[in-house]
Amino acid sequence: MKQLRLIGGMLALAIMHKANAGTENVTWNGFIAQGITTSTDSHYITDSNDITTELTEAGVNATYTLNSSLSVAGQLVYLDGGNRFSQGSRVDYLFVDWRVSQMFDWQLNVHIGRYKNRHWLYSATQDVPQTRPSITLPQSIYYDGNRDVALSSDGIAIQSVSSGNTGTWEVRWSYGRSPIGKDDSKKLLSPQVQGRVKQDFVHQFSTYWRPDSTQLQLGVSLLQSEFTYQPAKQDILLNGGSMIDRITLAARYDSENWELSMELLRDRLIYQGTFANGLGLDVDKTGEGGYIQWRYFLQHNLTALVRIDTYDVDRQDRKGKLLEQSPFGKIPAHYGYMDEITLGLSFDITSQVRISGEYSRVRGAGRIATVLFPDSLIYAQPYWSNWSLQLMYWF
Amino acid sequence: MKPGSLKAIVACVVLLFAKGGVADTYSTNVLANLSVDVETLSPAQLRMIFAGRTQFWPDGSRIRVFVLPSSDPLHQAFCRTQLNVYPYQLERIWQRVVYSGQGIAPHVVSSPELLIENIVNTPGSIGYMPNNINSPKAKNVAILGGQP
Repeated sequence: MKQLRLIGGMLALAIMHKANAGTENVTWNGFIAQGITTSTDSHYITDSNDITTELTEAGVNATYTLNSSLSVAGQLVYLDGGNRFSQGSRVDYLFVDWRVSQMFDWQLNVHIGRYKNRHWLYSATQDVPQTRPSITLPQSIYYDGNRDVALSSDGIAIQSVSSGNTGTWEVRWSYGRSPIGKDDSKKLLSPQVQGRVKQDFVHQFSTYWRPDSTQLQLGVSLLQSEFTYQPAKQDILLNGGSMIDRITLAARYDSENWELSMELLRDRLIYQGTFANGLGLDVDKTGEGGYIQWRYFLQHNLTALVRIDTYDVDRQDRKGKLLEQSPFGKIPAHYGYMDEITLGLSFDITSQVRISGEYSRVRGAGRIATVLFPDSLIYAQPYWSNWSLQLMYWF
Repeated sequence: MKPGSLKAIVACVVLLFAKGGVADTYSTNVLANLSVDVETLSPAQLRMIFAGRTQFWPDGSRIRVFVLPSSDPLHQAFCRTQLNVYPYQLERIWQRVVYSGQGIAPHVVSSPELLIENIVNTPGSIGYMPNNINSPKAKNVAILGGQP
């Protein structure tokens, strides 16, 4: 019922958009996507192998241009992805865009507020269904459990785009933090913790280069972030902190009829803390992963996708054997890795309506939840699968 | 591996990543509204404008870009020869600009006649036309070092 009301509301907005696409200084756009989905032998999306309609995404964004140097942009999104995300509405971004330099071949922007992280190939619009290559993004890089923290942060971002005879250079830097709710704290650590995880900061830098002579784009991004645990009065975890260092390499090649993209990452995660029972938390592990994705444009409105995605939680323990000896309780070895193959098909019914379908077969469960404590794991068999079918409309 | 096999693999890789050569039968001119105070653009500057990255003219007025649908042969020729991108790449860039709060997408019109009509009537507008079509009510913008 809620989904029907939401779809009705968005269609009303779409009609209004068609009637008046905005004034001189205000522009707005939106999207609505509804689908059916399931995960089998895993609680990644659904709990009991059932097919569900919990695949809803709706959003409205607007930009108000004050003058040629300043504008304000924001986007409100409603999301229901089964177990993948916290269901509900959120402000994905709301920032002041200051165009510091507006030369024809060099643009420099400063974003202040809740800026959007644009450091990976798809991160600028990973919340917008029609801009993604598939319904779910490769989990090695675009880990669903981290969606809100990864998508945007509160702080400052600087972006430079220059274009010349050698090609197009994009350089981005950002510094901020994301609010983390109590429910997300439980997901990150354990359902038993009563306190809250606070992100102290996230510091990111990325650069992408597309030489003029080829259709190849290359990029690298760096991330550093720290978190502190703020315990409740009665809590099992008395104090704690974590640190993440991450490097991502990206490449994309565009041909007339196909597109090949790839991102590789290495992330080091350090967790430290003290439990009420005297047990200490001291984890230092480096994960590695990445994906390679090939999209082929069968016709101008029909696209096929094949993707292989892989992630190892600890490069020193790629088969997850050490997880079985965890001092906090045995964790099955298949939570130490996750390998996934995805096949997908997208058909543009009109220039604003698309239907997409995809099927994934997965080995392991190392990227569907934080692999730290046994009680925070999401159930999955060593081999499992999921599929989704989604109709999307944008305006 | 035999040396011949290696050569064949190298040849295949080179062919795979070679820049797509397209024999376009359309040559395009860049047209702008008479209010636009710009006579020449470099190919890089043109690409920044049509990608939605440059949104204002030097005098502070807004740039309004008009294009034909992606499936139109004239638009495809313009993308490949003047911008050095495929139409789907341009659409990907527009979506990124619009849905991350960075600007507005070009206005898509259904025919060359409507395109020229919009350029003539919209201050700050820019678009393209076949080489052999000119309008006294719009100005040609020369692309330095671009398509002859």
